Amino acid sequence: MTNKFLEAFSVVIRDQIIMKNSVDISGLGTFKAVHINQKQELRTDGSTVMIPPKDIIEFVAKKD
Amino acid sequence: MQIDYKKLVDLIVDASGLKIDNVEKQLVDLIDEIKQSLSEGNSFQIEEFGTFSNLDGNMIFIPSTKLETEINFKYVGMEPIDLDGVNSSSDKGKENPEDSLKETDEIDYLDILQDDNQIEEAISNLKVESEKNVVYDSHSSKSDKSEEDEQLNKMFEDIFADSKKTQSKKNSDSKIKTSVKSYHSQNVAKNSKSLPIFLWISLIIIALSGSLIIALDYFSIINLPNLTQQTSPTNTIINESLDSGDLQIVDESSEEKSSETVVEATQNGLNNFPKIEDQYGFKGEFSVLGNDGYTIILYSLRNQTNAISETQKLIDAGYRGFIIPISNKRYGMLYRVCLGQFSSIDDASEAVKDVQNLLPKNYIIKKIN
Repeated sequence: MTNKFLEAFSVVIRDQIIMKNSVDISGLGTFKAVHINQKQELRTDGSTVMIPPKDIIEFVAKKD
Repeated sequence: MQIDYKKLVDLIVDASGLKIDNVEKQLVDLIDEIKQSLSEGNSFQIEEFGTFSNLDGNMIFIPSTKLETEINFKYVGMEPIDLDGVNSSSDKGKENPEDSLKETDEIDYLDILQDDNQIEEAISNLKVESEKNVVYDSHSSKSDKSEEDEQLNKMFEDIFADSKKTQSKKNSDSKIKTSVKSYHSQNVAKNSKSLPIFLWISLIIIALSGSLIIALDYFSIINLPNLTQQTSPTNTIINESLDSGDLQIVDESSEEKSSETVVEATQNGLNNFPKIEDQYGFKGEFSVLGNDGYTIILYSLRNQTNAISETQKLIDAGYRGFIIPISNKRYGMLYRVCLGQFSSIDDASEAVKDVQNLLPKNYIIKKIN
């Protein structure tokens, strides 16, 4: 595998995740984009904090 | 949308510039290497992408920090906001001068922290309230600011919120004005489109009439002085009789009244000045005495030079050729190329029989004076 290929692989999956598309790699698994809404959190010191929203990559492995 | 294996290969080909076969082979190799690493109990890391590892027999993927940041570029600058300044359930009884700056319908977050659904409702309410309640400020981090600073910020936000409302109203008014203006301009544009069509029609009519007048003058139907050029003798032979090969005897009475002058060789280069030798004749030199007789008119030309050249040809051939200039109201000045001087029409017609091949299709026998 060349670096050029790995770089292109990373870029393509990243772009698709940003566009909220799921990427299915046969033999490996599926990459999905999941949105986490903003939420409140209670800290240990008793203060309440509003956590901003974010997107994460979820990977679901293919079962052989 | 789901990107399948084939689409993924196409995208990687576009991004890398490699060939499809190469990409497919490398992708298969990558998958095999990942599986092999995990089966051996190792993890497989792709630089600046993430790490594939094994957790309780399951394959997991841990994205790199860079990838996480890139995915969340929309939320860059958003920091957790401390909500303690908003919570006022325990301090409701006390009156602070700063409290007067707050809105009266604040949401008490402490009471609704129990349930996630209630949290989401509160958040949705929070969005509806928008600028009046907690707002994520993407351009500054407020975690280190004091409560007073937060309240001051809220004051400013309220003030700016009001100003934005008025500005939006102004913008809407301006939008209405621009839409009215654009509608008016469209109407003007529509009306203005009809004018050029009318102008085009009038221009076409003028052009057609002008070309018609020129064509009529060219074909000598009408006479416009100095409008059309004189052409070669073959094109400007004006046939006063239409029947080819027929003798046309033109009486003076049928002709238009015009001044006819007795012909003499007026042009330089012609040596046939009149001599008193043979009064009448088909050949020989021109005689002034024969002007009381008849002649055969071969051509009536507008160009004097052409008439002289045609006459010269006849003279060179030994015939009695001469020119009669005549002014015509219809055609202007004409130069008649004449052949022979005869005492009578019969003599002229007899002479014609001998030289039928020399004569044009339309010739006339006419009295000279």
